[in-house]
Amino acid sequence: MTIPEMLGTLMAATFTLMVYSFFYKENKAYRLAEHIFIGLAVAHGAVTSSKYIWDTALTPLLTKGETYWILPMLVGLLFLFFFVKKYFWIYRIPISTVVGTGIGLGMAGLMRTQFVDQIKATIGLANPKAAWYSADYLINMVIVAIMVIGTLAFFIFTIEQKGALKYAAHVGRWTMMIAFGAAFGFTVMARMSLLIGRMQFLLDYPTGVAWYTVPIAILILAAVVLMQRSKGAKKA
Amino acid sequence: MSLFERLEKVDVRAIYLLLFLVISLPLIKPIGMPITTSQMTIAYYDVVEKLKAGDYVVVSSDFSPASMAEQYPATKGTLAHLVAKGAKIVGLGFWADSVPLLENAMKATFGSTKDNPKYGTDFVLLGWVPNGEVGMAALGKDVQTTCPKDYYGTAIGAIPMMKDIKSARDFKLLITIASGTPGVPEWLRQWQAAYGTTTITAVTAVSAPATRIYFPAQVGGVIEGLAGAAEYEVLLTRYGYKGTLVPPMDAQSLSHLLVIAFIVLGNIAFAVRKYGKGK
Repeated sequence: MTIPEMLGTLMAATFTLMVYSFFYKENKAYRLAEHIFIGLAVAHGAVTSSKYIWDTALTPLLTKGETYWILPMLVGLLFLFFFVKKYFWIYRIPISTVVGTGIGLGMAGLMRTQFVDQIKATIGLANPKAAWYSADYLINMVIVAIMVIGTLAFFIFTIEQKGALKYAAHVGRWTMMIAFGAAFGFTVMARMSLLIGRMQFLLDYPTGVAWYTVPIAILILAAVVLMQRSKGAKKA
Repeated sequence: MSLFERLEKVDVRAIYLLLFLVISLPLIKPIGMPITTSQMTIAYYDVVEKLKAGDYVVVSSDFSPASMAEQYPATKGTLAHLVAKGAKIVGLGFWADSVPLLENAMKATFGSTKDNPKYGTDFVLLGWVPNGEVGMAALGKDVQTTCPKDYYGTAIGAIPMMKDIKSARDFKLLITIASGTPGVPEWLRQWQAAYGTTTITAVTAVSAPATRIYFPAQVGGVIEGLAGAAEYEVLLTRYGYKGTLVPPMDAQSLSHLLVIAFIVLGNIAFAVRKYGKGK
């Protein structure tokens, strides 16, 4: 392991422990790590964005004379009017361009991928490898049909929900509850994975950095707690 | 104060400590609990299996370092699988801070990146493509203009494997390692729907429920979080791939058992408090 790698690993371990110190309680070490992270993310974003503009627009403009890049760059510069109160309205020009382009492009594909294709897929769903007469195929198809119809019924608000519609809406509500439960379970799994990832880094990579950083962190934490208690005792 | 009342008022830090222990112990001394493969992970594997040598594949790294624990093993496994199949890998990312992670995964797979003799002929890293969905649309329409240079500043025209690549139609497969927006829906709208590009994805567990709806009609295969990546590693063992996710899956399973135990205990305590008073 080279010295830069060692320093990088130690730094990563220190920052991980600084963030996890929040589990004890809110503290300055956690705040410092949080602010440094935000600063680094913003700086990284700014540098990569600038590099992209340089490669894609400025270089062709300056070296190949592709003058048409001037227009999008000028429109992009209008974003800076966000900081000028008097001419703030100019800032709306690039914003509307970005929003308009995004919505236009999104809508075109959305109708197909999230509406038509979803309906088609729902009608022909279940296990694609199973024969149409197999039990799991039939069971899945029936479950999907009942739950989809029930959920759609739940969102019918133009007619008073009574009779058959009321019962269908109940099915929809239960369907959504099951979906929310599943989503919550997945969220728990994801959060555990993140903790496991960090713990694995501390314990395994590359030489078990936790074995010397964690005791030091515990000592620092204990010292901080003792100092705070002694301060509290003096005040009292 | 009864036991259940104490349980309801337990210091949350005691729970954190228990969780740390339950996660750390299997990582230090793995149990080796069995890992079964899901239909979606098998489908992901099968789609890559069907590739022929020389097929072009886009591997888009669309996640942040925050979800590295889940997505990095899937990225490494995917790259190893693509190499085993002889596919030509075009790496890029729509999340600026994900590209260094993809570069790391490429280094782990190939040994090095820009200095590697295979760089530019078997794999390339185009770097970050901005503007989310609009960027995906632009990339699909014209790869050369959208990415005029690779991650290291080499003109795309000077990269041998990219000379004949013009649009999304030149790619056999799109793999997005995604954890949010832009991610799977955007790729489907701009590539799968527009060009019919076969799409598979590795998503974080949080995104999994929202991604399942696209399987199998629109997304050919899905790796769901750390568990999916572990399943994929099991499938890749036939290529001699050595995974790292058996101990983490032990930790995952035990931590889930702990959460279940807390939920059950919490509910019992709540029920005793609520219904016990009436007696």
